[in-house]
Amino acid sequence: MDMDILNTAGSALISERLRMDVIASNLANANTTHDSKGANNPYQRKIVQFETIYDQKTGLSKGVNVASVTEDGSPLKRVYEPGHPDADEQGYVDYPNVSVEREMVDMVTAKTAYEANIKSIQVFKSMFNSALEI
Amino acid sequence: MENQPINRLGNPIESIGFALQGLEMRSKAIAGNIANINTPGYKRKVVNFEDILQDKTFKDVEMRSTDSSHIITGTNPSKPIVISEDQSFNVDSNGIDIDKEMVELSKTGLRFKALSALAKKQFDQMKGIIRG
Repeated sequence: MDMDILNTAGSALISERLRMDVIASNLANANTTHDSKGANNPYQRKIVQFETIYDQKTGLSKGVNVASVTEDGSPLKRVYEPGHPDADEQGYVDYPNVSVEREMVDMVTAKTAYEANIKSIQVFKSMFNSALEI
Repeated sequence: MENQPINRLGNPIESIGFALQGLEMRSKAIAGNIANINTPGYKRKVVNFEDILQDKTFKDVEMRSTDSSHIITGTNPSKPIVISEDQSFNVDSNGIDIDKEMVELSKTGLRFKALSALAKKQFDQMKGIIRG
């Protein structure tokens, strides 16, 4: 047995962790209407895309990699708030295109995947141990 | 008695070794499957070695190919085969069912433990014989 198998599960832990970070960033910025330079530029929801890494020799997957973190191009939420400092002439404010419900669902998915990979690492560890006892 | 499997490999350790190798390969496939639960378009990988082991055990005479020009007898290669399943359950055409994978994971882990315990027993027996 070689230890590559732990890297496979490990790569998934890293990827799911990054997805969790992005979800946290989306949730934290659900109401952010300014960018880091102070300009009125509402936050855009970020999406993580995964890609699989193949082992050419065996045809099996060696793990998962984050291919890209892209911005969700869907339209911003327009809310009528005439008193808001960022309101336009018609009294509308552009809020980020972050849906809290969707982020919560994604968070549960990422958490489940993370736990499944932790479980597989535990099983592989016990397999290594039993192989060492032969 | 005719239907009883006869071990033609001579040494049971050899069969156990092949099965352990197959289980290791299968656990690799499961690791990849679980790691790619959220990868769109990923197809489930399955490793089969039991059929090959069965063939090897039941075969009366096994011809060996020692040169690349030799014709290989039988249909099965001597190492576990990887199958990619095309079916998918999810909207992102990902073919992984997490419950199925977790069950397979436990099954493979337990089988591996049982077989390595068996291998240990075989070696202990041999040790006993040598010591007399």
